[in-house]
Amino acid sequence: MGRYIIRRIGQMIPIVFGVMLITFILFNMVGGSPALAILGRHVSPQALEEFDEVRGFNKPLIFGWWSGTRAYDAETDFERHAGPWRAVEDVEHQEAEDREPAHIRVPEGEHAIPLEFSPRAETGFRWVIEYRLAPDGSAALLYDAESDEIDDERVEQREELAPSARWTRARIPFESGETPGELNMRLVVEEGAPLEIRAMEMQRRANHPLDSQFTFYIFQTFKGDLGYSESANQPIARMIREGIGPSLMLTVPIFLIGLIVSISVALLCAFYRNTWIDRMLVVIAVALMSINYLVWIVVGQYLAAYRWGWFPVWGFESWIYLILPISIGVLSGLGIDVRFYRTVMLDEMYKEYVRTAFAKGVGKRTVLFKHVLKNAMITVATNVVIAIPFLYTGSLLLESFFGIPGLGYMAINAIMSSDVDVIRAIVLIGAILFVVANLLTDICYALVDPRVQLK
Amino acid sequence: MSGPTQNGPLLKVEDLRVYFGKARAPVRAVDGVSFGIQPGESIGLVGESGCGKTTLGRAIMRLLPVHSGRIDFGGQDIAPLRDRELRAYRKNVQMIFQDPYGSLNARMSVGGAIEEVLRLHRLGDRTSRRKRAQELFQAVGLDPSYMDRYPHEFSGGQRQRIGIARALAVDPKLIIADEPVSALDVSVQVQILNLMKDLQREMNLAYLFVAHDLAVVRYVCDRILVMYLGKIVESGTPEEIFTQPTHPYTQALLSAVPDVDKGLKARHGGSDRIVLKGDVPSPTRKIPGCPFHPRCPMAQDRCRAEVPEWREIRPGQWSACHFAE
Amino acid sequence: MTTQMDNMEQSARTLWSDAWRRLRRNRLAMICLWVVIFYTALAAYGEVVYRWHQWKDITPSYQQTDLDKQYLPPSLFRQPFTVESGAEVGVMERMSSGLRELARHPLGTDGLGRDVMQRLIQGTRIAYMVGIVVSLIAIPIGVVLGCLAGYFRGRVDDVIVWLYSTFAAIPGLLFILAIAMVVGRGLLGVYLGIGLTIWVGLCRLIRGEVIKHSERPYVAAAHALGLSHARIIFRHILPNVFHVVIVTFTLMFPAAIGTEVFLSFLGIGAQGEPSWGIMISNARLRLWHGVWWEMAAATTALFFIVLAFNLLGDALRDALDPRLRTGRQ
Repeated sequence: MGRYIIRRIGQMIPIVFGVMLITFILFNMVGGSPALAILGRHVSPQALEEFDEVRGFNKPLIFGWWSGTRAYDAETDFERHAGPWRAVEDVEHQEAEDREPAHIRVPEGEHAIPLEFSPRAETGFRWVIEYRLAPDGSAALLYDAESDEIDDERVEQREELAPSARWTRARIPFESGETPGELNMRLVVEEGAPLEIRAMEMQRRANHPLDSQFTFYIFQTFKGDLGYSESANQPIARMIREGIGPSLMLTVPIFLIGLIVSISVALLCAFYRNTWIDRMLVVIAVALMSINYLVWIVVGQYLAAYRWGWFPVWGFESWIYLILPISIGVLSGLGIDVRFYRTVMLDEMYKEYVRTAFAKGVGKRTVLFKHVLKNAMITVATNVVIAIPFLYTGSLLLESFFGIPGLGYMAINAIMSSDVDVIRAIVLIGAILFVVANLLTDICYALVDPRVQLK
Repeated sequence: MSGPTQNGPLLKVEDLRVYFGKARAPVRAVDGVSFGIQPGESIGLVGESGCGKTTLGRAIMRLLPVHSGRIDFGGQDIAPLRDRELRAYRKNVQMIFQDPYGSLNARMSVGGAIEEVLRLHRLGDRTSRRKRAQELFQAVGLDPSYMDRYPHEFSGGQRQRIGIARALAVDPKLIIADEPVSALDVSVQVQILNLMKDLQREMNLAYLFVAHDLAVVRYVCDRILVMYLGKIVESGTPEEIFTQPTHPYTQALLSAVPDVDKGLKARHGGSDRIVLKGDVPSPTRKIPGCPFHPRCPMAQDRCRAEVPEWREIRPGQWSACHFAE
Repeated sequence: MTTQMDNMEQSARTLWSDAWRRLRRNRLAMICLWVVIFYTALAAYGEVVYRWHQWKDITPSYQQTDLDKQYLPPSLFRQPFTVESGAEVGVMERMSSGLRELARHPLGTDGLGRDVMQRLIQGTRIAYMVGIVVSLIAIPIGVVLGCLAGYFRGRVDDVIVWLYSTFAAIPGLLFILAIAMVVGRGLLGVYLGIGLTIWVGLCRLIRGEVIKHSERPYVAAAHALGLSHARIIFRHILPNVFHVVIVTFTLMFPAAIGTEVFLSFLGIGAQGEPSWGIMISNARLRLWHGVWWEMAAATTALFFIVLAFNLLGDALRDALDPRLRTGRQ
């Protein structure tokens, strides 16, 4: 048994990893820059960079040496205007025309490269420049490795841009100095021809290839640091701790009451199997099942709380506030549950040993309660364990509509305000619970059903 | 090396071993089997469930991987065959299965199933394929006008005929029949067996007839191999096997056949059914000495210590028992 | 030499036609089928109306605000056949004007004076689009992955099982919402969100069935005959497993519609177009003011299509049950 457990845990780990990978892909790769979304467009690049630094967003996504920086401003192509070069004299901007892409033209002379803020110290960077230079032209990047305070000790590095009649891409690495800001970089275009630049980007070299956003995220999670919610202004771990209580207060009663009621009804169906009672109950169950969950909530809230005034509409003052959402939760789930348990019971009833019992003359009630129920319990038990992870997220909709401050409520708010960290945290914990519950289910099965062999 | 040679055996199996499962305690389904089949010869392979006969058949069909040993067809080792050559091999060796319904695709018309085989091996164009399918249908005794029907519309015996027609579609030299009549009613069994004998004569087919029913095998086969726990323990003609079995296992098998020639019992000194003690042991256990000794009524110390030799007791009759004569 | 073949019936019967026959006998299932056909026709009509307005570049009436016609109750409740006191009106005239009134806004209007019935039909159109596109996304993914996993086993199976377990581990609604949020507002988010989560169930089922079928003799026979893997999977195993796809589709469709209703309600789904979710969302607040018809219309329309598909799905499952396959054993 021990070996089995270990092996199953071994299967669980890749799944949890997979969940982290998927949420990562979803939010980091597809979602675009959260910094812009959360801080807004009018914040300085420096602030954006700091935001990214704290969350590790300025690292390469999953694996790699280079990542983008904001030191050169978010715009790296010149679609609409000359970008950061607007401020530089004599630089012309050409719009896209026919097959010529938009680009800027830097005339002969020495030009300082406009940087939004000084790059970090002692770090490797590189320029990625897409340019075009006529054959008789000559251009280069010059930079001082040290500050130019000491005149005679100027050390200049010169990186040539080879002439090319067609658009070509150059990657020019350079190092920043010992203190921030120690970088005096100039673009020199010598006599002959102007330099045309189509796109320009400054990338930073990572410490090592695995220092990526993804690893950052994984390590953070292991440390238990689930991050900080921008929208709610609290550490997420605490939010989750506080949210679990109300969620459970809602979902556990729904689950237990629902379980008892649906099993009872299912037993009824099994007892009156194939009579009109059974058939009617099935039709009712399907009808209940077909009512949209939303409708249950909206109509339930309207009728019971507003119209008839039995219950309060919204809020979480006392347990009375829970009665209506719990009732709705139970009712809406009844349809599906009754059908499921009825199938379980009937499957059991059609087995050989039940027919034998009947043939022996055992009464229907005894058969039902002693034999069928006991064996059906195995399936029920596994169903119960499987449902545990769902108890955790609570009902997203119930909580939102009734103002129960649980995890579901938190999740919906996070979705509405694009608070990625909160959603990621909730999803991750949910996934872990799911995976653990599966393991417990299998163990339960193995313990309870003597026929099951652990493989 | 493309086709089978004229003299030599059609199929030669040498020390074949097929193991499943873990390396430390593998299931030794086939544990050192050697035999040959001549063109047009019909060999019966009998044994209890789990003795490895089905596995052997599938290994020869290249449906299962082989642990060690050689399978030669027409002098050519079939193990390294790939793609085109493998497909060419499959034109020479085909298989009929035990479950007549399960071995046909329920959603394909029976004619379509046969034509599919012809199309795969690029035998003719659409019209000639259809004609050939009709011929095959007739050859197995079915009315070709029902070729567009589906398997569930036929009876068990008819389905088995369809299975045979499908196997014949490629014009094979050897057919491996894996318990082809076990799932059929007794009256139908005879019809199918007769069909198979007729086809053998007409088309010079060789058969490897796998079965657990000795009576069936006696009817169709030129030679019988008796298998136990992955090994062949006796081989001989049906006459020899039935009247003078030399291996104790064969004797036990025969005694279990109901209503067989009463003379057998008389010739064996009127002994009653030989009931073997115990069950067939798990094929993961490696049994020292003679694999049959734990259940053999005649077992002696020597049997536990020494593996019996495979020797020719009488001309053409071989056996692996210390006490066979 | 031919055997007796009197066991053959008059005409060929495929297993599909057997199943269809069984389904026909189920009256409830037939009713549901008609309901589905009716809704499909409505959706198609709605699509035509939509396209026509797009082509002509007019704003459709169901989108136009007309505050004069706000909050009209359904026509029956407007007492179409009563007449103002004092007016001298003949019977025929009363009948005809009454009928005309009956036909005008039969389900009433909403808070912006828009005809509820038209909006309902457009909602049907959107529901169908969601159901169809989601199925088009989820079914190929689920079937292909399920077949590959079940047929090839080994490493391929391990990877695919890992993949769908991972998707299954993420809390469903949250995942859908997250995807929709990332993709952006509008129906594309709905399609991708639901589609990329709902394929898991189908994949599991198909994989199970394919595993079972791979062990059956006809597949071994196909191998023995030398057929290629692709042919075996697509021409042999898949047709035998396809009934699962059909049943799953009839259950996937209402699930997708129902989920879209949440999403639209939350403002994430359809923008601008009147989906049932948006109607319910609008109608919710009105409800508290005694305006019940918009809510009733949307919820009833939703209820019946979901019910019809659910019952139909059950009936199909029974009709297609391979155990009931007629075949003499």
